Amino acid sequence: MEESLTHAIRELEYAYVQCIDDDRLEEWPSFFVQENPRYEIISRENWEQNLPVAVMLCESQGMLQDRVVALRQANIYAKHYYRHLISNIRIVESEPAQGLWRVQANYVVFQSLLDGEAQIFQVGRYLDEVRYEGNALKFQSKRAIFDNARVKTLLVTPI
Amino acid sequence: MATDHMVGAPPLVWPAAGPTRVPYQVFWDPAIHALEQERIYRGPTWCFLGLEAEVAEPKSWKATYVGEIPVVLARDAHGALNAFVNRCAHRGALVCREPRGQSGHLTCVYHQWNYDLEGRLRGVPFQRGIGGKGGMPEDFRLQDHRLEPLRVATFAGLVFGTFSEETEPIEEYLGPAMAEFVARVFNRPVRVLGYARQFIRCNWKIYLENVKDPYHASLLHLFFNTFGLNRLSQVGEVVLDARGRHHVSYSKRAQDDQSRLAEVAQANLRTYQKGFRLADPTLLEGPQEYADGITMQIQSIFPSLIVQQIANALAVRQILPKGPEAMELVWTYVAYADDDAAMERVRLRQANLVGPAGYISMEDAEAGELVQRAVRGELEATSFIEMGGRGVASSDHRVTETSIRGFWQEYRRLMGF
Repeated sequence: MEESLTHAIRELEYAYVQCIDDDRLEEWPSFFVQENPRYEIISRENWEQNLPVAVMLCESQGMLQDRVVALRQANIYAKHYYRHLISNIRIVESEPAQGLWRVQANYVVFQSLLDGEAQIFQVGRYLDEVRYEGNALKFQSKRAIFDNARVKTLLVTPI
Repeated sequence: MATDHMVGAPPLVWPAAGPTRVPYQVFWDPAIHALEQERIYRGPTWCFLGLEAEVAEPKSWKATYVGEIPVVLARDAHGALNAFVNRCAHRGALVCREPRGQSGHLTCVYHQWNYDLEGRLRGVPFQRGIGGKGGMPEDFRLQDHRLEPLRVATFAGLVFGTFSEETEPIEEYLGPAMAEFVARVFNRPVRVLGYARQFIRCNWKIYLENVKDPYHASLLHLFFNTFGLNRLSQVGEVVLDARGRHHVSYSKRAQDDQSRLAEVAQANLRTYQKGFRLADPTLLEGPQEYADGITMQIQSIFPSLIVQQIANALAVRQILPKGPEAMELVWTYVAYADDDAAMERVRLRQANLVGPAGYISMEDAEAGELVQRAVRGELEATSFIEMGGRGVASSDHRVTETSIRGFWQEYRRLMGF
């Protein structure tokens, strides 16, 4: 059981970043639970000072979906690709009674622009809460805490 | 007036058409950039250093910049605010190496020269040498050396610094109209909700032009229109200070002006899309906080500060040049000190509108970089800035570039162009 849970959590994390890297963003909200999901990209600078402002904050399925519609229909930005590398995926806390696991993972996001250059766009860690919704493991919350506080140009695609 | 040049490009001659034409050379020429540090940032201007709330405690400090010059803002043990250049009087090392901190003194790690929070040198290791050998010359006196001070002034909880003795008092510098708008947002104590730092590969003046330009708002930022949250019919104004160097652009919730709405629809703007609706409009929910009905205020204080109220999202933005072709934009988000938890949550949600990932602000960085890429190295061409006429004056509408012209008018005066 332990082994299969660890495997399932890894699969969730890998599938999540692959969804973004493949630009299947319309599927991105489906990685989160239906009820009260939370998604946040926050700088380590703010996080460590207990300052709550996030660069991006979604507090519902609707807000996750709105980010995607805005990105496709409204926002203007340079075409780019993401490539996430994710490692050190660990369950740091289990609350079996609530069916909730806290998971930490490191990530790097490379961004390639049409000029043909790749740059390190973000380096950080995920602090996630995952739970089963039906048979599927989902994020109750996902927090991307990035070390490199300076956002290069702009951030539109979720991390 | 032509200017002496140290590097490469020929001296700049401003076109006869004045502030309606800006030579693109000002956006990339390293010699002009160096001159700006002297004439603008070390000149008779008040540059934003921080909020009083950031250095609320005695012995607290933050590191920032005035132009490219590293500066420390510190509250000393007596509670007074001081600012000084963050560069050791010995051999030029940064003294404060962290963005903020709390300590009664500052010590340069290189040779441990020690300063108090007024920037005065208090101690130098091995001043008298070791065992009678070495040490400073006989005439060395601590009081002859210090961290270069700036004059400091505060207004409504905002802290400014200037290198020049000539800079007028801050209230005069702002002027009554601008002071009133700053004080309208900073009408009571605030606390910091967090920061965002955005690195934009464009000249700092390209970003400031964008801030001063209400013309682009509904054309570049399509979020509101895409989701049917049309704002074009809102009433608004652009107000300049007497000299035209600062500006405020604001809008009020309509009072829907049907004829204006029809005009916009007729213009068939690409922005006027239909059919999308926010799946969760609570993002935008929040109380009308101000009796004057103003829902959006964007204000620039020459040369480095922007004060922002967008619905309930309150922030200041500090523009820090990083070489002629890049800049850092530091966003400091605030809440009122007396906000309850529910109000704080409203502000945190609405922070999605602004910042590096802001629904209605992210495009500004993109636009700035598009300009920078296209003007790099250009020696002849100029921009064309005649929307709303050719003058520099306040305007009862926002279809105008008057505040951009005001900026260039002041820029030329200070730079001697």
